[in-house]
Formats: sequence, C-alpha cells, structure tokens
Amino acid sequence: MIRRRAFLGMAAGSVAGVLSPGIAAAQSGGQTKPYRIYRITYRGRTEVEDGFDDYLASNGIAVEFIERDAERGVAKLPGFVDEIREVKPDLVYTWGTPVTLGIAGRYDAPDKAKFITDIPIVFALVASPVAAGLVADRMVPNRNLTGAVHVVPTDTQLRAMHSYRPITKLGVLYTATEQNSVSIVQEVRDLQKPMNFSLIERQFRAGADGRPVADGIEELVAEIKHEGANWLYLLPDTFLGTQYNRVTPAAMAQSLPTFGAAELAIRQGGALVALISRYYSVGQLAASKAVKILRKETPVGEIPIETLKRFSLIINMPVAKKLDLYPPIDMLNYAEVLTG
Amino acid sequence: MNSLRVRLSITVLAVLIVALVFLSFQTAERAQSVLQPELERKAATVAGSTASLIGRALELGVPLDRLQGLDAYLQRILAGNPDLSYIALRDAGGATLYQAATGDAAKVATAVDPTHSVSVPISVQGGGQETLVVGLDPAYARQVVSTLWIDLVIVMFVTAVVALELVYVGFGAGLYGAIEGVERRLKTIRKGDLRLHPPVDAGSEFGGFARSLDDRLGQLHSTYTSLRNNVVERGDQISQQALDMMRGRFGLGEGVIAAPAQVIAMRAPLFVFMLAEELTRPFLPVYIRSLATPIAGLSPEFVISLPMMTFLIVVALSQPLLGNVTERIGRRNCLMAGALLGLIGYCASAFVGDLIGLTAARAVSGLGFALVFVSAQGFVIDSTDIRQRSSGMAMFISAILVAGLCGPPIGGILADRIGIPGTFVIAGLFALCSLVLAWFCMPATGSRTSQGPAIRWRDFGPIISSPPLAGLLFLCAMPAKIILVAFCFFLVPLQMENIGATQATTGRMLMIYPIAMVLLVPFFASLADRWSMRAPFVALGGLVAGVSAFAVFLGGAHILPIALMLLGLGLGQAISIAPLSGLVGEMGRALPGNVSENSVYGIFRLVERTGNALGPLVGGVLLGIYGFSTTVMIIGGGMALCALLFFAVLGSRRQPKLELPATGRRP
Repeated sequence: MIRRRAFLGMAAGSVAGVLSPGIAAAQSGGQTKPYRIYRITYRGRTEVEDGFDDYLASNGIAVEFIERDAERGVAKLPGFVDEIREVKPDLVYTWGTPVTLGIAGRYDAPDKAKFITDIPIVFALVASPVAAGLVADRMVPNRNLTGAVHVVPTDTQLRAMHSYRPITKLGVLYTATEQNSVSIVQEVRDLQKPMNFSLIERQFRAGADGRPVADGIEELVAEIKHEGANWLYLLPDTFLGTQYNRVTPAAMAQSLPTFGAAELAIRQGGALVALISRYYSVGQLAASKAVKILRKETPVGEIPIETLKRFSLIINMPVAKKLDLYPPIDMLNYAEVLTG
Repeated sequence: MNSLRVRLSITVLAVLIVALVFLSFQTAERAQSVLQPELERKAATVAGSTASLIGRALELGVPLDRLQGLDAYLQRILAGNPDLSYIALRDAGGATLYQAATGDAAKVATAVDPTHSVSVPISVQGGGQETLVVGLDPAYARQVVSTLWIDLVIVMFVTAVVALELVYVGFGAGLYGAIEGVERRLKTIRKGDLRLHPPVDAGSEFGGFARSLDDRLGQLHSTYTSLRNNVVERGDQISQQALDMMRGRFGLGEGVIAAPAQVIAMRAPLFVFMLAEELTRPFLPVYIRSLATPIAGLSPEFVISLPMMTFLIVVALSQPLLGNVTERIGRRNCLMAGALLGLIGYCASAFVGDLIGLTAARAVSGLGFALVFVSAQGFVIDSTDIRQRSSGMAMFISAILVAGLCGPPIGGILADRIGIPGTFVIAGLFALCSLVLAWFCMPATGSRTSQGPAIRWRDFGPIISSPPLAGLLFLCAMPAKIILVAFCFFLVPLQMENIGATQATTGRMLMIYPIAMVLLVPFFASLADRWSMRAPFVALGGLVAGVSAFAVFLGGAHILPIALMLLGLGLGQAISIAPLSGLVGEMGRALPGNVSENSVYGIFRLVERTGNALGPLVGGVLLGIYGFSTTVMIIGGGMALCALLFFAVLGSRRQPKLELPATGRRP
C-alpha cells in the first residue's frame, strides 16, 4: 500500500519534473515563470515530498525543483550552502533536524556566515524546533525560517492510549541524555493528575562514554511490568527508535501493550497502537507555508511553525490477538489496521 | 349576538374551519404514510452501518466475544436516534450477544415483532449467522404526528383569526357597514326612535335599502319641519306643544345619530404592523445572542438585553411626544411613515452582522412601532366622540391582542422553516403591507382640533404625593410591565433555546399569555366592577402573577413548569389589568387640584412604558448573575411583594371614594 503510493507519487513527481515549467506556468495566471525551490532530503524522497508537491500543484503554483540528498549525514551540507548562494533559489526546503540545522543554523549561532539567512527556508519533519535551537518561539519564528512539525502532542497521545484501554500505570523507557525525551517525560508527569494515572520511569543504561546502551533492556521492561504498568509508552526517543526490535518483544513477553509515537514503532517495531502524523500530510502543511512565502502574503518571520490538527491511529491486529487486547469497536471506524 | 354581521362571520369561519380540518387530516395522514417507511429506511441505514462495522471487526479477526465497547457503542447510537427503541446483536439461535435498549431491557427479550424492527445479517466471509436487529420505537412516530397535530391546530386557529381580521378589513367599510347600518336603523325605528342616521357609503343591496330608509325618514323629518314651521307661524301653542311632544317621543327634527364610522379603517394597518413585531418575539433574544460579542465588564445576558431595551426605550420616550406630531401631520401619513420605518428596521435586522447594527435597526423599528401605535390610537380618538371612545378603543386593543396571539406561533414556525433573517424580511414585508393598507383604508384627512398635550409635567407632583395613586403606578402598573416583558419577551425565549426547544415551540408558549388575557380579561373586568373591588383585584392579580414564577420550582429546564408560569402570569394580569386602568381614572379624579384625567392617564401610560423598557434590563442583569430559575423567582417575588405592599398602603388609607364605581372610561 505504502510502497504503491510512494511509487505513484514519485512517478507523478518525475513526470512533473520533465513537463512542469511550460504547463504549470500556463496554469498559474499571474506567475510569469516557475519558482525555483532548492530541496534537500535526508534519506531520499519520502511521502512528505509527495504531499508537498501535490499541495503546490493543486494551488496552481508552478515550481522547478533543484533536488539534493544528504544521504543520511551532514558532510555534504556545507557544499549545499555554497550552491544555494550560487543559484539563488526562491525558497529552500529542508527535511529533518540535522539538515535544517546544517543549512539554517541555530537562531543564536555566533557565526551566521556558514548558514543561509537571506533566502526563506521551509522545513518538514523537525520534531522540536525550539529544543533544536532553530527558533526561540514556535508561534513567531522571527527569522527567515518556518516549517511543519510532525510530532503529535503528548496529551493527544495519552488520550488515544486511554481510549484504547484506560491507563492506570504508565511505563516509559527513555534516554536520560536526550533533552527532547526528558521534556516529554516531564509533560507526561504533569498529565498524571488530570488524567488520573501513575508513572513508572526507567532510563536506558549508559556506557562508559555516557552514551546509552542496549544492555538490560529486557530487565528494565520486566521491572516496569512488575511495578504494575498496564501500558508502555514508546516516546519519540532517538535511541529507543533504534531498539524497537528488543523493546517490543520484551514487552510482549511480559504481556505489556505498547503505544508508539512514531510510524516506525508500529510498522516495523511491533507496537500495539500508534498515533502519528502522516508524512504526506506533514508535506502538505509545509507546502502551505511555502505558498504563503512565495506569494509574499506574510513575512516569513511571522508564519508560525505548526503541527497537524488531525493524526492517524494505527492498530496492529496480530499484536492485539497475541495480547488478547482488542480495540474498542468504534476505533475501527477511523483507525488504520495492520493485519499482516 | 344575533346581528347578521356576527352570524355571517361565524358562517365564514365555520366553512373555513371545516376546510382546514379536512386539510389537516389529509396532511396528518399523508405525514403518517410517509413517516413510517422513512423511519424504517433510517433504521435500516443505522443497522447497515453498525453491521458493517461489526463485520469489519470480525473480518479483522476480533473474536465475537471480544467486541470491546460494543454495548457502549450501541448505547450511543440509541442516544443519537430517538426513533429507535433497541439495537442488539444476536447469534444464529437468536440469543442476544450485545444490546442497548431504552426504557426496560425486558422489551428486547420479548421483542420479536417484525413490523417494528429491522434485521441485517453480519456478512463475514465464511462467518457465522449473526444478525443485527434494530427496533423502532412506535411511540416516536406517534409523537411526531402529535407534534404535527399541535402545529396544525395552531395554524388552524391562527388562520381562523386572521381570516376574521380579513373579513373585518374586506367588508368593514363596505358590506358589513351596510348590514350594520340597516340593522341599526331597524333597531332604532322599532324602539320608536326616528332620528336620522349617518349615511351608509356602500353600493350593495343593503346600502340601497339603508338609503331608501334614510329617504323615508328624511321625508318624515322635512314634513315635520314644515308642519312645525306652519304651526309656529300660526302661533298655535297647543299644536306646537303636541309637536314638541312628538319630537321628544320620536326624535323627529333631531340631528344625526353619531356612530363610530371610520374607526375600523385603522384596524387592518394596525393589526398587520403589530403582527410584524410579534413575529419576532420567539427568536429575538436568541438572535441577539447569536450576534453578541462579549463586552468587557458586562455579562453576556446583560449585553443581550441592550437591543431589546433600546427598542422599548425608544417606544417609551417617543410615544408621549408623537401624539401632537401625528395630530399636526395627519394620522394616516404618520402611520405610513411608521410602517416605512418598520420596513427599514426589520429588513436591516435581517442583514446586520453585529450587535451595534442590530441595536440601531431595533431603534428604527421602535420609532416605527411608536408612530404606528400613536397614529392608530389618535385616529380612534379623532373618529369617535366621548361616548364611542370605549368601543373604538376596544377595537384598537383587540387588534393588538389578536396580533400578539397570532404573531409568536407564526414567527416561530417561520423561523424554524426559513431561518431568522428570512422571518425578519417577512416582518418587513408585513410592515410594507401595513403601509399599503393605510394608504387604501384610511381617509387622507382627519386632523382635528388640538386637544392639548396629554401629559402636563406639573401634574406629576400631586400624583406622586398621593400614596394610593403612587402605589398603584409604581407598585402595580410598573412591575406588571417589567414582569411581562422580562418573562415573555426575554427570559422565556432564551431559556427555551437553552433547553433545546424549537422556535415553533417557543412561539406556542408565547401564546399562553395572550390567550389567558383574551379569554379572562372581560370576565374579571365585569366581576371587579360588579363587586366594586377594583383595588383588591389589582393586588390579587399582582400577587398571582408574581407567585406564578415559583412554578419553576418544578424544574426550570422543563417546558411544563414554564408554561404553568406563563399561565399564572396571564391569569394574574387578566385579573388586574382592567381594574388597574379603571382605578387610575378613579384615583385621578379623587386628586385635589385640577389635574386632568387625560394627564393622569398619560402619566400612567408613561410609567407603564418605563416598566416595559426596564423589563429586559432587569431580566438581563439578573440572568447574568443568577441563571433562569432564580431570576424569574426574584422578579416574581418582587412583583408579589409590591402587590402586598400596595394592599397595605390602601388598607392604611382607606377612603370612601375608592369604592365608587367608575364611569368606565378607558383611553
């Protein structure tokens, strides 16, 4: 399903790439020549770009893309910065936190010369732009940058979890050195009272260099279970994201249901439920910001960085069967159900 | 009652009602035949979508006994569909697996009635034989039809009353005038009264008959006059005495018998205009609430009361001033100007986007209302002499009352069907209609000698310093208007909206008060006069009206207690309204110094209108602080206290003059 859509998107994208200048420019009325967007992806084309392209097309914006890929690293980014200065595109698109930081830099960076500041930048797939230091205030970026956040708000996550099965004790397993995780755990702590549950916290063990290690994951999960947890929340922790193949089987062994905050957690990591932002929708949201900038409707620094209002609930039916923990029937009205 | 006019009216009405009853039965029957299949279709849709959801769950591999939250889900479906009585999932053997039911669940077990249920199989590939059964609630269809019947009866009633008005309007000056003219002539001649009558201006058979009677009477009069002239010339004292006796006996040589000739001309434009204003009653506060934006430091309820208050303040302030204006410029012109302002005001109300605009539109409507009211009242005064004033005024008041009776239910039904702005436009068209009717029906001239200002401000002193009269005005007249406007025009429409009632239901509720008034006022008026107990009646009425508010103890969120409250209000004011008006004149005449009765009545009306304007203010302020039930009890309690206080004031200063029967003049 996903693969097919991605393929179709790519096909459409490549066709548009060949034909777009002439046709799209003819459609767009006042626009005399297509806008040029310098696009940097992190791990090749994703559904985010499909949503981005479709949104522009349906709004009659003719664009010409200069496509670049960072190939899962930051080494190529300085070269991209130089190239951007040379070709002077109308807009720069960046995918993910590392790419965005490499091109735009922190808002309080002492040396701005290494970064792009005079061309508007729209990012997608940055989890926490404030924690990453891209902006000081999400609502008013106050620099030549804005974008779309893909993370689902923590309270929304917990409410979805609660409606699948009421939370009495919630387990979390996270990396103590990841600032983003620490702040999410703090949000979860604050939700204990209003949502009436208690929290069981465990941190990944740290190696000699202070970095988290996978040792003892099974014991940590078992501890969480033995303290009475009836849910394990797989929060968007970078290290946890690499350890789904150990965490979820451990939870399964303890009959502990897991709730994922990232698409990967359920599609490959074997979580029971997940509430996520669709990449396609995130792309559309980012494109809506790009349209505002290209049409010069609002100064870039005043376009708020936003997250989606609607999210996708995914249920893993094989896991539900193993846990004998089936979803409330009305969830099937709106959830995507994985069967295989 | 044996007047030909009355009998004709009854016949017309009877024919109309027979036709309406026939149509209503047809409508109800048609509704019933359409309703049942429609309800079944809807139940099938609900069953189908629920069955497909269950089918999806089973297909995904959820075991039949693990359909989490299905009972709660079914319960929510029932809650959202009042026409369903139960919904259940049954297995192949008919045993219920999951279910939700209204009322007693036992119904589900026994319910196998296929005429009131819809079954849909759960289709799963290679699945079992489960079925989803949805039960229709037969009471729901009955309720829909009975609600429809209530609407039909009200439409019937209103149509009948409006038809009666039209009969008046259409025939008033023409055929009915001629019939009445002939009847009057025959009646007076039978009594031996041979005086002349004002000419009948109609071309019908009856008109011709009246004219030929007039010719014969005229000949008789001229014969008498020439005979008398002869006798006077001859100086025949005895014959002259005999002729004088004849004159005294038969009225020969006397002038014309006066009759309320043209009063009816103002009835149609007045009625139609008042109907326009009454149309807005059920939804006006709700409409204001939808436009209102919060104003810092003011409660939303108070803000809602502002446009209503503006209307009533404009009416209260402009009415005393407009009397002279309409006299100078002409009643018809002023009535038409008022109708034009109404047209502008109502149409503007439909299209304004905010509270300020609506307030301005209501102020324009208020000025129009005051102009029409004062012009029509002035027209009655112009076209009647002192003896006919009462019957003329009765015609004036009855037009307003009938409009008050018909307007709210029609307005409510219209608002439900075409929306509030559309209903405002219709009210504007009614105002236009009133303008056209005034143009056609009312005579162009008709200005008369000035009667001087109605209110002389220096008369305030003696009125205020007379405790009984001051008590009457400020403990009875003013609170009566405050409670009426606050309850009927402000609090009840808002509360009805809050409890989820339709505008049509609100409109019906607002009929309770005028119905009570129409039916009971004449009864209590004659009773109070016969027993010479006006003052006690006024106090009793105030007490009843006030105490009625405590009906909300039975539940302010239910229709029945609110209806009871309005009924009590209507009953109380029906007891007090006529004695109150009579008592004003009575006490006014008892005042020392030369305070004119006109002036006392003018001040009385001003006090009443001030009460009108205070109504929404008091209601709005209290509602913002206390909510509906407490607010009506505070206002009602205040009214009851005022009535008791008035009784105490009277008791302490009992004067023999108070018990004199009044001469019954009511402007």
